Amino acid sequence: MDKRLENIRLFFPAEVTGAYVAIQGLLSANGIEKTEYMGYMIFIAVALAAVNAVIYWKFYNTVSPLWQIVLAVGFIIWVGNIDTPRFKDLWMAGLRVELVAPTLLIFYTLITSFFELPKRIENAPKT
Amino acid sequence: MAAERSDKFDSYRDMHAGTQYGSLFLNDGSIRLLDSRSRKRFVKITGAGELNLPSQEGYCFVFNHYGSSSGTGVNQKYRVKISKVFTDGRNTEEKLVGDYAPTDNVVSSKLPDWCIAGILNVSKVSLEFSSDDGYFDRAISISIK
Repeated sequence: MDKRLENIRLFFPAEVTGAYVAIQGLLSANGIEKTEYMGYMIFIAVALAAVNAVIYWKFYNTVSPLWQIVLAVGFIIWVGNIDTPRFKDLWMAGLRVELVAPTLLIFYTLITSFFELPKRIENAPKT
Repeated sequence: MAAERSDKFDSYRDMHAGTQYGSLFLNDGSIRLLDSRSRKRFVKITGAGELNLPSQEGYCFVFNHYGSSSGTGVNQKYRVKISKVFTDGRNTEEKLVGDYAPTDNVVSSKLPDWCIAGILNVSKVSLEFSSDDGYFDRAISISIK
């Protein structure tokens, strides 16, 4: 499962995944437990998914709405897997999040293995 | 019989699903409602009577309001009578009343909750809980050191 999680992380620019992990660390450093601030981290995840879309549009030339949706869904699945306890209280999905998140990860990596990911434009500035 | 701290829960889901409707919890480390509503550090209080707690400026409690056998969605009242004994021998009594709705949503965050404040120079606090349906009825006391 760790390999799948690492594979899906590589779909996204390191700055975006790094930002989420950094904010997780920030909460922890401020005495906030792993299951608290769920709404805040949902907001962060959605904001970073939007940043991710802009990066893919600008530096990967990904204009297809379908690809953008696939990438956004992938990012949310990655977040759900690296921050599972945070989403225990999420309406509906939280009830079995320990089961649902890895299952989604398995299906996502399976399905996307049939497609080639967008490639970064050569000479694009580093994000 | 003394009241005791027992199981710990770190989410509404686990707290609701893992205990009975009407179970009482200390929200560990919270000293005011604002804290209590953003923290999920529930420690179940079992039994009644004297409860030993670490010294802090206030204490917050919540009840499990999930899975009532008498139905959900209808607003009910819970009451807390807080009696304080001050170190100079004075006694005060405070009565709080709140509304809550028994729920079938296991992740509900709208817990019946309240906090004890103003415990400077207080040596003992006694709490009497009750609710319309009787499931919250119990009494505990805390010695402040």
